[in-house]
Amino acid sequence: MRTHRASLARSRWIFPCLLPASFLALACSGEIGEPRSTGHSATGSTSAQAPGSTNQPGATVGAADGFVCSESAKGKVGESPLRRLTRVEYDNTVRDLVGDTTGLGSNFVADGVLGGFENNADQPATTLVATQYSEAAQQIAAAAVKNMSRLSTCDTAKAGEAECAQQFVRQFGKRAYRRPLSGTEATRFDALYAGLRGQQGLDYTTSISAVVEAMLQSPNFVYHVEKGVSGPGTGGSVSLTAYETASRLSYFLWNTMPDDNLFAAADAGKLSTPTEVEAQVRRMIADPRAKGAVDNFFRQWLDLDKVDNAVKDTSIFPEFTPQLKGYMRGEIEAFVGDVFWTGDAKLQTLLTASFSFVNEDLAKIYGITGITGTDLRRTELDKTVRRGLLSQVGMLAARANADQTSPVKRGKFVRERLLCQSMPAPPPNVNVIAPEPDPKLTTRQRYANHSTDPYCHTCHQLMDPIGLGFENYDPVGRYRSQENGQPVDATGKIVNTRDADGDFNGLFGLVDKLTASEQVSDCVAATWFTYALSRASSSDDVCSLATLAEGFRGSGQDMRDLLVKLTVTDAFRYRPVVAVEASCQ
Amino acid sequence: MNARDFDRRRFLKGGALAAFSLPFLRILPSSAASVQYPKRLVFFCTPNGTVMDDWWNGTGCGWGRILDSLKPFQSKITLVRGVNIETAYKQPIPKDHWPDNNNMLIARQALGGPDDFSPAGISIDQQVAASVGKQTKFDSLQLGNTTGSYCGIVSSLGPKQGIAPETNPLNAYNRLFADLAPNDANAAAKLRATRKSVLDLVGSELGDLKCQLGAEDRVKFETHVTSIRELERTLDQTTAAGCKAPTTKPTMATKAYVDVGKAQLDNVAATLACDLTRVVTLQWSQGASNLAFQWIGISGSHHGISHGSEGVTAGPDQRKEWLVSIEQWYAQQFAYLCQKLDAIPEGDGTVLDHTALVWAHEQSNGQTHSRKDMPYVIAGGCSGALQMGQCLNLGGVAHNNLLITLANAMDVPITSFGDPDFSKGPIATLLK
Repeated sequence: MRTHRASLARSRWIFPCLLPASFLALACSGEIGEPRSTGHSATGSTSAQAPGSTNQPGATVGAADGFVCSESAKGKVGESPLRRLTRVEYDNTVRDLVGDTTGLGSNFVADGVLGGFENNADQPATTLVATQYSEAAQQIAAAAVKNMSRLSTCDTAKAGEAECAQQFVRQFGKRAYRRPLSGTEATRFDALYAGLRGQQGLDYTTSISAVVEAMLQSPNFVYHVEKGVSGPGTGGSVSLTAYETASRLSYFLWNTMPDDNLFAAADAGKLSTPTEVEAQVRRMIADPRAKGAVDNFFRQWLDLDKVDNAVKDTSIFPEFTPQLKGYMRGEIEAFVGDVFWTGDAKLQTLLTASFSFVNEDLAKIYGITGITGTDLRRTELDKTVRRGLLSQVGMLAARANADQTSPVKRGKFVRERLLCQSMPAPPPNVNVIAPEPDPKLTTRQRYANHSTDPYCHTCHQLMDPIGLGFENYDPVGRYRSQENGQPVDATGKIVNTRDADGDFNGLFGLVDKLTASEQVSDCVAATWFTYALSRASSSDDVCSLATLAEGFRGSGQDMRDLLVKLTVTDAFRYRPVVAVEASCQ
Repeated sequence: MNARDFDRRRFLKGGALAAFSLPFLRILPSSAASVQYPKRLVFFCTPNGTVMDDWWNGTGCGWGRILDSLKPFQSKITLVRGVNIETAYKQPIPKDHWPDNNNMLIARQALGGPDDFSPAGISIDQQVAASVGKQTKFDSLQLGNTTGSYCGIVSSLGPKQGIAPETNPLNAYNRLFADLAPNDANAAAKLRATRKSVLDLVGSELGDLKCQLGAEDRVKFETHVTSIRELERTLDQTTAAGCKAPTTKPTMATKAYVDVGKAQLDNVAATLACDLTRVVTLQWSQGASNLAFQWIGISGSHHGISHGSEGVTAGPDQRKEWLVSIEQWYAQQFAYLCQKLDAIPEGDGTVLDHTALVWAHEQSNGQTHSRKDMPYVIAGGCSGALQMGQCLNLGGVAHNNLLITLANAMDVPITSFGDPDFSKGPIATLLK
């Protein structure tokens, strides 16, 4: 039984609703009202672990410690909890299944988050969810049967309705369930059709529509069902069936159902060896659908919604309009897409590139002249003040407050998303009151008590000294050399990492440290792992992660190549044996 | 006798009288042999605590300026203070708003953590719905306004069984009021029969698959099976004549917080008036809401302002004033619902009189994340079951007991709820 979902790679994620960064963002001084509760260490951490450590139950190693494949871990893979299609997957799947592009899934109850990515393994199908499935299925089915020739090639005039209905159940059913229907399942749908067409007296099209409606609500459609092949697997693991492998590949690389080619490969049993899988993956990466899935990764890893949600004090930053936010997000998307698909796809390039995609409004923030119009175009930035993704205005603006920067938010992003170490809870009952504003002080001075007060320091040392390295960039990402009449001091320090510790100066110094760090490299590999498997990793995945992380480093941190490497790991090709209780009714 | 039996017997007795009742209300006989209208329980949940100084009038029990817009209903309102969410202080004390949202109506420390939380048990609205839900077309209703699927969860069927609310008012409207006037009764009946056949098949597939899964995954399937059954039950129920949908139908374009809020309140009022359900939760945004109340001139995030990370240059006095304005705005929304419900006559009173409409927060002081001395407004009195028109200082009662009291007011005779460490029993001074 699964006991912990602790992600080994990204040990503890902060979820959007908690936003402790904004809560911690200022003074961590003293407390009022209630006494600090007893039973807490001076760190105020609510868990037993040290801030920033990756140790927790069920996951004894992480990117910070490195992945070591021990003898006892060999042949094991982590638990793969049952989950439903995400909203994105649902919309893509019905698009490919029946050509529906109405995007009904986007109105469903929002997905939860697991390991930093959308996932509803912990979101059961409540009445509302079942209702939404039912309503969507009705609409999609009714629209789909209007174009019956697209759904079925069977000619009722020649073969007869009954024959065509039977064919439809089996052929369409296989695509909907992403595997052939069992005899019992097919018979059940035959009976549904016969009951509606016969006893109820519905016409052929309406009866077929009901079949589609039922299939779209079936657990075999809405869940990622995996049972594995029968027979013993190594270390309690079992190979996926060819159809399950096809689905894992298509949902990872395309966020949608398998295509005809994948179905054919599964039919022929040609997805069982790494070589066969790799051949499919290379084909799939060349398909435009892969871009959508990669975009989806970056959207969540870089938390691009934060750009849209950023709020600035418009009396200070009147230029910060919704339109500008859209351009800022567009810039990041265009940049990561370019690096991934047109460029060398290397992490190093992502973090150090001298170019980006800029239009007239963005150019004003960047201080570049001669760019007009709204189209984003590839532009060389000022190499003396900009370097890579972390210096892009959207990344900087999304992690700053409305009227000032936030060393906490910026530092936290690096700590969590590039170093895979997350922050413990802010201590309970601590009073977080902002210091009185003082136009004579710099941000560094205002945050000073985070380093002088030992109570604050324990946690904030993991964030603020990294975030202060970004002080040359104001709340909208504009470069500055002075703040409140004083020169900016952007020196910083990294602590508590495997290999990136030490002092640095400014963003350039920080990026030097990050690009040289194996922890960062392993963190990125492990983050892709979480996305690919749609689950948090556990200590049982350590051998797959070790292979993956080593392979990633060996390729010069080539993320495109990482996609291939991921799909041939044991974790991707096997699952734990499902322990079924005999007593189930 | 468990709660369900208790209520079912009452219902069966009431059924005989129903034929003579008003068009769409199922009237139950009360012990005093007078006509009793359906009781309703509605939770109106808002995030990030309040401003204690301005919610209360000083340290005593009295109306602060945040509640000014509720003054017209003062005789139908009881303010409750001195209630603590003690379960939030069970070690290890988790992170803040999310587990507190999960705790608000459940009275158990949330499961999981340190980052990823789930509700730890059934919520009081669902406990009540388990008793009274089958008497209405929908057993309960969960609505939200710009609410996320996890940090905004207040209702839950059980451990890790959180119920995300419907946040789209048009979808809710269509579902609630769709079958008010079918153009063709025959066609509608046929459609229902088809839907039932479809759901029947889906139920069979769920049943098959359930036994091929591991224990933990099977629990998720049980919920899905129950949901399909509830859908089938709903199909059998038609809305009685006389029920009126809200006069303004929401549009697809309704996205703004203010508009969604009003549409959802209209949905709630019409749903209660038609007796389509008796149990409702309405969650505004979610715990740690970062909503910017720009329509009242506040550009910073609600959560950021509450902790002083936004509006730094504006200063603490201005930030406090903003928080008061936000709470006043929520008070106006609560007052709007009071007014809507109070405008619907029912017997010698109004729908509001037969409802316990409760304004709940996940914290009292959002800045310190305090869960002590929680601010509650109860309006309506639930057909006289609750003593209205007072300000009650309970001096440190665990909120489990307030939830028990509300269930009792709904004639669900539970004596304990939530975490047994804090569950003592109903609050006598609140019950009439």
